[in-house]
Amino acid sequence: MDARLRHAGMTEHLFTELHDRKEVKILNKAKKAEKKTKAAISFHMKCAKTANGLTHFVMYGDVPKKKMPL
Amino acid sequence: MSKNSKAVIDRGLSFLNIDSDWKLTLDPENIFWGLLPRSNGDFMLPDDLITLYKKEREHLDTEMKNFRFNEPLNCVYIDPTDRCNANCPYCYIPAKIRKNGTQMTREQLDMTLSKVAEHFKATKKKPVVVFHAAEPLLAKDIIFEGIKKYHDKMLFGIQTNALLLEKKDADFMMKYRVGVGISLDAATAAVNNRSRVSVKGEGNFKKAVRALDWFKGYEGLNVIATVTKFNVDKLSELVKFLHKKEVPCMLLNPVRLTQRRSWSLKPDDMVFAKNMMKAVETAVGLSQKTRHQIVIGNFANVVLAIISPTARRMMCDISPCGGGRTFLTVTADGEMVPCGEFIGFREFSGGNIFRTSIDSAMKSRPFKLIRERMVEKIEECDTCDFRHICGSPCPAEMHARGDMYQKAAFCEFYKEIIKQAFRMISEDKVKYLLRKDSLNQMAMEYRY
Repeated sequence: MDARLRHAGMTEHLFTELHDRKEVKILNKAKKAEKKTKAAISFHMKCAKTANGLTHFVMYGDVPKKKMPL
Repeated sequence: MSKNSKAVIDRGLSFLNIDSDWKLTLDPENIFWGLLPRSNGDFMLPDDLITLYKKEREHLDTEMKNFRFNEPLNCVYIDPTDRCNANCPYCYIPAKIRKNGTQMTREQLDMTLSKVAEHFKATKKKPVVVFHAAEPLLAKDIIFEGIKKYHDKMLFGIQTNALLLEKKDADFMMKYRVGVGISLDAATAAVNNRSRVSVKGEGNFKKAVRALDWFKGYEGLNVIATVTKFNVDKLSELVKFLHKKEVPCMLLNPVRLTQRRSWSLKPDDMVFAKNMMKAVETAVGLSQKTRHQIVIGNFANVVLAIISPTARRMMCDISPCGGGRTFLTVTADGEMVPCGEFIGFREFSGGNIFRTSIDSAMKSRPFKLIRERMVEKIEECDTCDFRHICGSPCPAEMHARGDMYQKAAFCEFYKEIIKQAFRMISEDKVKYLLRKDSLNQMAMEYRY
């Protein structure tokens, strides 16, 4: 196992004993990365405000009717 | 394996490797998907994800069915002229038509627009009308008159090579909130002008770039690049160039192989996929680091096909495609064809708009033939897990290559970028891949 990951599993007590700030940052990152990759992901979205027409020209948002500052 | 998971796998959950960290489970019929973390190659399908799948399955089946078969016509492409002042080597309009083709009169264009208005008068949504190929600005006087007259009944778009575009035209388009597509294939004149050739032998680079400056900051601007073997390794540079010009959206469209002369320009699928992903990563990086976002529209469409299938906009990437279903094209002599790609194949005309109605074209046999081309009837696509994400485009292209019922010419490219889209979803990058306003238009239906 990678040393950083091993460190990431340390108790809070031991963790606070690390004085090197850089090391702490690395550990936080490793913790976050581990947390991120652990959960399965699935979601589904729906058009709430349907855009005005499905077209392969006006891409991803029709031109707003209200003129915006250019 | 639990009894629960065996039952859903029998129904049709597939498993595919995305990379060394993620496994994908997917129901290809309704695009229910889950990304499962891998550890030393192993993965686990959680029971509560299976429960979610069972709960949502019927609803997703219905949603996909409606999207594939019950979406109404909502866009009409009008080619006011068959003529063009460019000579791009991949154009899907036969050279003879572009040189000697006809052009609509003022009265004919007005009749066409009035029939569009008539067809949509009972619908709540305004239809989208796009002035398209060959080069619409050859008929700009009558187009602009039409926009002035009908702008409260329709949304307009113009696709142009910008060779004839003047500052006052750009001002007019912005005033009337017209969606504008500028054709530009590369960030340098040397590369761009190899494929975007004007009849006079020059390219459109200088004029297209001048036009981008006129439209700077305009939300309705997009740039369409056709990807060939000339520019395939320079897509990332184009992203950087357009980002500097504050272009909000660009398309990196694979060259359509509808005309034989374009066949030799096809880039290798995997080279294209690799460069497409480099371009996407560049766009994401720039959008993260700067105030200005740039989106690659056709990749965004793949992401939408996964996370919100009915929100996708490019109706080429769904089966049946949008041709003769959600959009149609009216040619300069009034023929209604399912899509501009069919201009060279008049046997697919659904009737002439000067003599008949849009409704009769929609009910015509040629239009039905295109709507009947479905992935279920195409060998390989019928068992492909990504069949309702890519849609196996395009019928015109494959008809030109001998048989409409063949898999997509860019099949391997699509497979690869779909896998990469899942990878980017796993990296939580969706917000950088879609236009900000499109996310505001969507609501979460479920999240695991």
